[in-house]
Amino acid sequence: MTMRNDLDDRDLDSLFAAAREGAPTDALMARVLADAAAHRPRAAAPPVAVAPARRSWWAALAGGFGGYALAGLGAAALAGLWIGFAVPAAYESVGSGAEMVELIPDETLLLVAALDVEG
Amino acid sequence: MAFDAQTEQPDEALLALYAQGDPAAAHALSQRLLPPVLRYAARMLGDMAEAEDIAQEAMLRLWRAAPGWRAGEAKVSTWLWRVAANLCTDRLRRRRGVPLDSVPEPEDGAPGALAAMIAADRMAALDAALAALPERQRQAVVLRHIEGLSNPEIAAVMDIGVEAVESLTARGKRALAAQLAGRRGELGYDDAQ
Repeated sequence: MTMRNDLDDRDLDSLFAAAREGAPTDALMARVLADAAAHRPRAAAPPVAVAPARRSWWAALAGGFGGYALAGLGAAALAGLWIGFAVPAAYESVGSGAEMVELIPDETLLLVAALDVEG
Repeated sequence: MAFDAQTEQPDEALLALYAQGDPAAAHALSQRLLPPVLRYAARMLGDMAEAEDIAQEAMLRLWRAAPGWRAGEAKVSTWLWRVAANLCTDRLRRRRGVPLDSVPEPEDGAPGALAAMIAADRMAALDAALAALPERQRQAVVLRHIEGLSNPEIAAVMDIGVEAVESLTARGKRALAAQLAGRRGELGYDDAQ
């Protein structure tokens, strides 16, 4: 049985409630906030407006044709060069025995033809 | 974000805002979490200067943990209580053998009304009674009856089971009442509640 001069549950609860009232000093709060400021991650920077870079003529060309088309064009040009320099031996033999055929008549023939017409 | 708008936000949301660089979030979190952690440390250590160091260190660890905080994994307050509890335990271990001199003597003739003196006397008596409890009982009683944590929360902070918490708080409260026995009138409970 609780004696009159002993604290009962109600007294203890009142004591506990009063014990919840402590607050930190301004100095401690300032120290804690200074720590928070020192360790605060930097806010994500707002996106910076970047002036569009000037497009080179190459980039403009690539943009106009499309990258794949330009790559194809380059590959075709390289293939042509290679074919031009590396003439296969089979074609060389064909060329050596061939006779020259004149497809365009020379001036003398043209003059004779003209005289025949007039005569 | 304005501080007023942040006072209602959960701890975890504030911590996420802090991690994104919001300075007002740190202010709101400090206003909310620092006072109870400081009170707890003061009651565990019986020394306000040491308690302030512990509270500051616990908050510092929270700031450092903020960028890597994983949402939903731990309750911020429980995590902080646990850090503060471990820091206090370490501090108590280091000075083990040194008697706790935790009871500030009421100042004679201190200015203030009688009520303030009674309140100071009551707090001094409570702190003295708490200081006389074994460390684990003191820890459980402070967390349960003064700071209002639930038993499962205390179990998480102290890394013990809920039943052990119930046992510690019950024994601690009984021991506290025994420490204060016979002082009801002295502490002003006859004519003031």
